[in-house]
Amino acid sequence: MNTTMVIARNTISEALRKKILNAFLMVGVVLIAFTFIFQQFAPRQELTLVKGMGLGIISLAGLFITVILCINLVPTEVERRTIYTILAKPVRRYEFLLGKFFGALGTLGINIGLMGLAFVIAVAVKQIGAENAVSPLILFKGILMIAMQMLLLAALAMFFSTFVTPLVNFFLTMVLFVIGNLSSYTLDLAKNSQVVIVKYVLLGVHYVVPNFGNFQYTNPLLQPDVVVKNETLFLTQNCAYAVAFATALMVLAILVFDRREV
Amino acid sequence: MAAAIEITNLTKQYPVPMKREVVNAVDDLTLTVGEGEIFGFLGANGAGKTTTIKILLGLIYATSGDANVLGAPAGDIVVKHKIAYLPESPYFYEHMTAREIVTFYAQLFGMHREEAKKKADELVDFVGLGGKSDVNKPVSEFSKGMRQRVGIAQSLINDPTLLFYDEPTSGLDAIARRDIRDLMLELKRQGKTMFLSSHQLEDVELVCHRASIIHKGKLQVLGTMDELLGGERVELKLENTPAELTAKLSADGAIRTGDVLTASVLRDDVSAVIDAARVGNANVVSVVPMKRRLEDIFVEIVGGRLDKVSGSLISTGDRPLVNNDATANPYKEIAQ
Amino acid sequence: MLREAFAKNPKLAGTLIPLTAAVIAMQAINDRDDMRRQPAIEPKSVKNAATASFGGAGLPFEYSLAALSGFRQVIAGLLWVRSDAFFHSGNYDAILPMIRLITWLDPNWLDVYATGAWHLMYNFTDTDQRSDRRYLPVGLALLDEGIANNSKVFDVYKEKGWNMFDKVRDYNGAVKAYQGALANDPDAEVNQVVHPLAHSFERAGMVGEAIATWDDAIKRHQDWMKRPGITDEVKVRNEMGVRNATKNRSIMQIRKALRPGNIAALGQVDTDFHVTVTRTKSKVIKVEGNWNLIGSIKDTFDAGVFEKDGNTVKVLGKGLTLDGPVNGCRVDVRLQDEGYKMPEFGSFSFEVDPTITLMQDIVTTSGGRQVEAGGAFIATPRAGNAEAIAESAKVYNLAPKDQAIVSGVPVAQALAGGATISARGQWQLVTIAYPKAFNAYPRYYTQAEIPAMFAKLRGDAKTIADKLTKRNVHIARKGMYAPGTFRREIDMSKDPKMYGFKGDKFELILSVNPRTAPDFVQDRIGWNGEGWNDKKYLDDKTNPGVRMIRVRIPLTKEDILGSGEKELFKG
Repeated sequence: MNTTMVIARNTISEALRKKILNAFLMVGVVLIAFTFIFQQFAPRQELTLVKGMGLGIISLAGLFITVILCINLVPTEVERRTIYTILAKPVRRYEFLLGKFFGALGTLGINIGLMGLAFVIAVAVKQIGAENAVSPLILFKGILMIAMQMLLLAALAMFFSTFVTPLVNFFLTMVLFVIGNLSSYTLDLAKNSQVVIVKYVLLGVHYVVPNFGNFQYTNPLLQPDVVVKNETLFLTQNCAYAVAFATALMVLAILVFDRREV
Repeated sequence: MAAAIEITNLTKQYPVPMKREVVNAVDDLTLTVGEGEIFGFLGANGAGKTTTIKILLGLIYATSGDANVLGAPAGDIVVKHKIAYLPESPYFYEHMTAREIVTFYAQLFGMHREEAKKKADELVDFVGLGGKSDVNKPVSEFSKGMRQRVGIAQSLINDPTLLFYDEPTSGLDAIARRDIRDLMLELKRQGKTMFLSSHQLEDVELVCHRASIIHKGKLQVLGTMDELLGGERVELKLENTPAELTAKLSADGAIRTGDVLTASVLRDDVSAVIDAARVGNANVVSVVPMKRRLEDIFVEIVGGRLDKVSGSLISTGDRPLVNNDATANPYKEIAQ
Repeated sequence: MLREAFAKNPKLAGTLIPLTAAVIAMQAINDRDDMRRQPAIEPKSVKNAATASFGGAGLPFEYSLAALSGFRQVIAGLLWVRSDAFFHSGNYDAILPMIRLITWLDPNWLDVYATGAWHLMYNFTDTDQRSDRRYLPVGLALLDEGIANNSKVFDVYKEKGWNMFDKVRDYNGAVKAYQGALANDPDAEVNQVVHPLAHSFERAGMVGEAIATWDDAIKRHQDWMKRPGITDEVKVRNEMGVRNATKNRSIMQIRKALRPGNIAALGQVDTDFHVTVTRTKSKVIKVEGNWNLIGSIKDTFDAGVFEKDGNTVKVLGKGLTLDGPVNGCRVDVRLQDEGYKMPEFGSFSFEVDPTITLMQDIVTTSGGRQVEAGGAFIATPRAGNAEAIAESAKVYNLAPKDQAIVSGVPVAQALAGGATISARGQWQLVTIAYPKAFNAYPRYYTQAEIPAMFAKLRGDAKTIADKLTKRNVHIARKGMYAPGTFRREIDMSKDPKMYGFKGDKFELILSVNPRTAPDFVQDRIGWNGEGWNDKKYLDDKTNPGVRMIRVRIPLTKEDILGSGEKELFKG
């Protein structure tokens, strides 16, 4: 486990220096700060706007950071041959892979954390003097859901990176992200399909593709009247789902990577 | 002597894309490297050297055959505590300094951070990168020689029993090459085992106990340096050589410079040629044993002139390496 | 490669089984509606799975794509600004696609459903501001969608309830909507939900339920005021709510107690409904008629009855129903394709069937007047409504034509012996001369009090001058009666898109529903029309339990589109 953490720390250190990831982070933070200027343009309560935009920006920036980071982690090591000197050491393949994965999660945590902080500050400032102000800490629920979504996406991208090229991985991961966000649609189609084989194919898609749509938690945070029936259960359930699915993907990744020639 | 590396009938095949064919990157390779031995593993580009090393390190997997390292199957995690690998043109994380890189690798051996840092300091100084100007530079600013030094430093972290060095002096200037050669000699002196792949054949000649040459995945020659380089030919300088003898020697590549004919003759044929020269009233100007260079053998093997090689060499395949047919000696005929 | 890996690492590969099972199980749990769809964490898609009572409100696939974006609400907000601009410029057609898109993007934006439904049900009008009722089902479908997406908050239920009450006039539907709000949102605002529910019950003829609902409203207001940490604004709102609910409950209790007996005592009035329909030119029809619209004096039923301790109602005496012609009851005029019925709730779409022809208007009845011999009237140069004080004494304005019939005598002269003043006339004069305070008990003078009051009046020259002569009060020597009339010219030629007249057969329906009659009319005829009758046009089949006055006139295309004047119906 120590070896894994060493690789993880190193991965974070390297990732935080990547210009493109820092660019997404900067853009994200700046856009969140800029949500103030939109108050002129919408009749919606400004606070709703700030919250909606903030969560949207974190989600979008998180998506690109996750995908671009994770599709390259393993292939870059192989391409640059830095992996040779590492695997020639007493490092098990799964330790290397998990180290890379945890390093990616650490990087994501830092990025999403920074954007989340900027977001919470923006909301807190926006709420100064407002009636019915709610604790901006409630928004961390939304950020947590985004983080869980990115955890799952990271695992998916890592899994694919063990056997496809980064370019293929990019499109594959993005397409599955889109399909995963349409999870209720695939379920509804399956339920309403008259053709048995189509029904089961759609159900298969629904259960095999990670259901990223589960983590869309913006609405209840934006609409004070919208109350989830059992929020703690819902959030816990989602976290457990993300962790379980990510674990399964990483197990598969380890199995594949174990036999991969570098 | 116990075997540090044992390779038995090792084969590695790769499928040819778009065709139902395979190419043998390593083809039925068998060899052994003893402990304490510096073993040269030579071959042209694409011969299968790096493939073999990768199999031994567990980075890739053999199609068939066996490979054992320090008594355990190749890739064994326990064995990795005792081995080191310096790849050809090693790459490191560009943003890190030499110290940070060596510290990182040291931690992969299970060393705590402080211990690893201390080790890194020692090794960085040892390889000559501890100077003020170099110590805080990121590797991205290093020259090729400096990167190679970093590579050597990381290979010595665990005081390995067995080292795999792949082209350690490739692309270096003469001074850097000399330094690394000196290091390899020191390691030899310390009794380390080394599996050395190099195109610098003079380094191999100097450093290695034994060497092998593979070509298109197959082992071509294997032997000690003496066996490979031992004098098989003698340089004869003759004056006033009779025409018949001149013709025969010229056919074998003898060169005339004025009155002097310089010929390279198999050692077994020297007496016959001198007798023939005396009979023809030629003067024997000089008789100098010619030590072969590894390069010659290499070029011959790769160029396909295998039948000229003699000595206690291992025959590979259907081309005899030892010419035991005495009747084939053309010079004996003249001497008679 | 995978096979080798599984073979080499069987234990690790084995962990995939429980992990996969856990993932599938968790996903199955998450797919349950109550975990994720309530309220619209993610709204229902494609095939609607809304509760049966609210019908279908399916969303298309495109919504789900928008769900990917984290900026839904922001885009929705920007679009709403645009649609607001269209509204102010009167371009209502442009608003509809925007509403569709905005509700896709942000299904929890309650205001959009409310405003969107308002646009659909109220703002699509012809040149004369008559609503295009073809859009009513569409507006209801939009509200249903809003309910499906926000079923745990009362707001959209309330909107639907109001639209059913005011526009569709389906009072049972209104009841259902408000009850839905209460069932699903325990924090429903009492003034906005429970009060209109009570009114809906009343309009639906469920008087007992209406009273019980007022009781419930009072209790809920009191519960709200006991909640810790409520703001002053909320407290004041609930205090006002208690007062209103208490007052309304009293009124309902009084009416429930008094009306049936009162109506039975007074008997049925023959409305004697007459109508003439004339086509004045192509697509223009004139509807005119008269009928005996009788009602009581306003606010007399609940007058003098008050509540004790918030819970009990003391009924003191009987409500006064000094009936006579009144103004105000509406006659619905509806021209439609023959047999047209408003379709059931469909899915929201901004397209309506252009071939449907549907016009609805209302005409109010006015001008009814009467005076008995010896009774009082006000001589006016022109016909018109009497002032409130005169109305409270059932003293009508009579124009010169009528004055000639009744041969009136100025009141001063009559009091001096110039004419016989009947008992009713005396009561009328006393009521006008010495008006009672609004909150006095009783609100009216009893018959026993009149002789003394009348005697007082006779000697009170100043009051006679100020209160009676100044108003031109006269005493009639002869009685007369004139029924209320209605008249309206409906011009459908200015809106060809709305009134296409594509069909061949149409029907013109005039109807009066006692449930929508003003309370002073209901005081006389009852909630269900028990107190009226009509030899030709009484209809108790169209709305079972309700005695409507209803005239159905079949018309052809030629009748409506023909040129020149033509009498289409007289009866």
